[in-house]
Amino acid sequence: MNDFDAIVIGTGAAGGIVAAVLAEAGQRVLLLERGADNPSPESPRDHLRNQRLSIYGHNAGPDISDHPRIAVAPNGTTSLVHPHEPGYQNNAACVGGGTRVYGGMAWRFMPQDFRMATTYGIPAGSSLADWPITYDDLEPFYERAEWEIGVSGATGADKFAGPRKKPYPLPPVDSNPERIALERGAAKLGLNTFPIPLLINTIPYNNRPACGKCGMCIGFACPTNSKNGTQNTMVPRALATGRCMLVTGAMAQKVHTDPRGNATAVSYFVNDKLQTHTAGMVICSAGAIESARLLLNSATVHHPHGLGNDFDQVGRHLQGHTYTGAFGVMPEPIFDGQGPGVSIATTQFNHHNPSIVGGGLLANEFIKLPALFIKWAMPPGQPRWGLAAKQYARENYRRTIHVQGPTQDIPNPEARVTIDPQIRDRWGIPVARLSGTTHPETIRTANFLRHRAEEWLTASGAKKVWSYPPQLQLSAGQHQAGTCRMGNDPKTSVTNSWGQIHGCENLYVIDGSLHPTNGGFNPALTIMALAFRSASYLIDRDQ
Amino acid sequence: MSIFFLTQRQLSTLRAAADRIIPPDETAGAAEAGATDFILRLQNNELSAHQTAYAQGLNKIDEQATTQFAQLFADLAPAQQDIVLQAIERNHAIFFRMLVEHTLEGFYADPSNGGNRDAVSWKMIGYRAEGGIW
Repeated sequence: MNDFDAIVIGTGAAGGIVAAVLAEAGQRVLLLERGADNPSPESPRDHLRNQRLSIYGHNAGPDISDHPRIAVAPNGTTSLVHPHEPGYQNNAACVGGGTRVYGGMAWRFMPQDFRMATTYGIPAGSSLADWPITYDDLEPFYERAEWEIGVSGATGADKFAGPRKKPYPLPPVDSNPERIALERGAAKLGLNTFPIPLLINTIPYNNRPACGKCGMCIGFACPTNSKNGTQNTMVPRALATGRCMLVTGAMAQKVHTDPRGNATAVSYFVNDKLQTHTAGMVICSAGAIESARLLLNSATVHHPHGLGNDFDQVGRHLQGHTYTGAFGVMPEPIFDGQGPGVSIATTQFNHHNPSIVGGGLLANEFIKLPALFIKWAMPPGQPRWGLAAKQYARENYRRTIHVQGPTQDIPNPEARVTIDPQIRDRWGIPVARLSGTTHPETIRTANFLRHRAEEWLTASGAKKVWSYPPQLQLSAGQHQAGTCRMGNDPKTSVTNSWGQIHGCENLYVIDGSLHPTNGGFNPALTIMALAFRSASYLIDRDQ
Repeated sequence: MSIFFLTQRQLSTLRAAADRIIPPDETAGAAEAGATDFILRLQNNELSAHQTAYAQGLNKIDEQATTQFAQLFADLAPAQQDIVLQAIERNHAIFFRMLVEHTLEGFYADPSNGGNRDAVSWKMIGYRAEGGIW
C-alpha cells in the first residue's frame, strides 16, 4: 500500500486547492511546501524587504541563500541570482504561495484569451496557441474559485467579460478620488470602466473580517486576514479533514517513476534529511519555474530528458506579463490613503485593437508605499536630491496618478527554464536556468497600451503625463506560466487539458505552467479555476 | 550599532551630505530623520561589501571640499556643500548615486528601518498622516 493516495508539491494558488478537493473526497494527501508556514514573523511590514520591493531581502520566501538560480540576460550575460534580486523571477514560497502576498486581483480571462492563435494567427517565431479548453469549460470553476476563496466585484459591470451564471459573492470595493478622476476621463474617451474584482473581503466572509484598509496589500501578508488566498481557505479545509499532512520546509528533489513513466514516489528534503514517500498519484503545483525544474530533474534512463519531456517542451514558453502604463500629476490631491487603493479598471483594450495582437487590462494602482513612489514614480528629468526633490515629493505624492496593466505576453518557445549544468542548491539539486525573452510582438502591444494609459490620464485631468517604453526581456515573476502547456498534441504540449502528463497515468502538473497563453490579466483566479477543474477530474476518475 | 568602519570625520561628512540630499526646511532633513543610522545599519548587514566604497567616497567628498573651499565638507555652508556634491556627482557617479539612493530609501521607508524617525517623511508627504496601527 502506498504511503499516500496523492502527493501535492506546492501550497500556492493551485496546490492548496488540489489538496483540499482530494482530501475532502477521502484521499490521503501529503502536501509539501518548501517555504514556511508563517513567513517573516520578525519584520512583516518592512518597506524595503518585501515581495513588492525586495532591495535588501523579502518577507515570504524562498530563503535567500538556499535557492539560487542562473539568469541569462538578453545580451547573453549569465549571472547567479538570489530570490530577492532582479532576474530571479521570484514568486513567494510559503503556505499559500503567491496568494499570501498578492494584491488579489481576481480576473477571469476573456473567451478570446483561450483562442489566441485562432483569433490572431501565429506571429512568426512565437508559439501562440489556443487552449484545449474554452472559457465555457472553465466558467463553472471560475465560479467555484470566486465563491470558495472569496471575490468582491460588481457583477455585470465589465461589458467585455464572458458570460457568468452567478454574481460575485462580495460587493465591490469603495470608490476613491483617483477613481472619480479616472471615471471622468473614461467618460470623455468612451471607455467602459468598473470596480476591480478582488480576492479581498469587502464585508466579513468565511468567518474572517472585512478589509481594514491599511493599504499594504501587495507584497505583504494581510494583517487583518481579510485577503483571501489558499492559506486561509483551502489549506485549512484540507487539514480539517484529518487526511492531509502538510510538511513545510520540504524541498522536493525528484519524482520517482516506473519504466512507463508513471509516478511511484517523491523524494524531498526536510531539515537537510532526504525522505521518500510513495503515492498513487503525484501533482506538481510548484509554479511554472519550479514545476518544470522538478520534472527536468526527475530524468530516468527511460526518460533521459526529464519527465514529460520526450518532445523538448518542458520549460519552454515561459511567460508572465510585461507591465506597462503611465503616470501623471493631478492639479488636486487624489490620494486618500485608504487601502486597497485599486478601484477602477477597463478591459476596453484587451482585444479588438486594430493590427495589435491581444492587449491587456488597465487599472489604477494599489496604495503606493512612499519608498516605491520615490523609486518608481518620478517624472523624467526630476532631480533626485536637493531641496527641489524633497519639495517635489511633498507636493506630489498625493497628486500622482498611475494607471497600468499586464500586457498579454506573446509566447516565445526560446523563453525557457532549463537545468543549469553546474550550479546546485543547498541540497545538491541542479538549479533552474532562465533564458530568452518574450516575443517582440509583446512589446508592440505594450507600447500600444501605454499610449492608451497616457490618453486616459490626460483625459482625466493630469497636467503632466509620462511613461517608459517597455523592454524586450524575460517576463515571468509572480505571474509565471506556460512551461508545461496543456494541449491535445503530445509533440507540442506537455499535458492534456486536465494537467495529466501525456502518456502517463498518474503524474500531473496543476498550476500556471499549464497556461498555453496567460491572458492580459493577473492569472491567479485562472490558476485557481484550473485547479478546481483538474482536481474535480481526479476525484471523479478515482470513483 | 557598530560604526567602526567609518572614522568620526567620515561620519560627520556622511551626516552633512545626507542633509544636502534631503535638506531640512520646515520639516526634518535626512540627518535628523536618521539617515546615518540607516546607512550604517545597511553597511553592517546586507551591504557590508560596500563599506570600503563608502569610506573612500566620503574621503573624496572631503578632498573635494578641501580643494575647492579649504575646509572639511561638514564645516562648509550649505551652498558650498552643494557645489562640492555636484562635483562628486560628476566625478564619482557610482558612489554618489548609491549615497543618494540609500538616503532616499531610509528617509521614505518604514520608521523601523531607522532613517524615517517619527515617520517624518510620511507626515510630510501625506502617507498615513494620521498614523496607523500597521
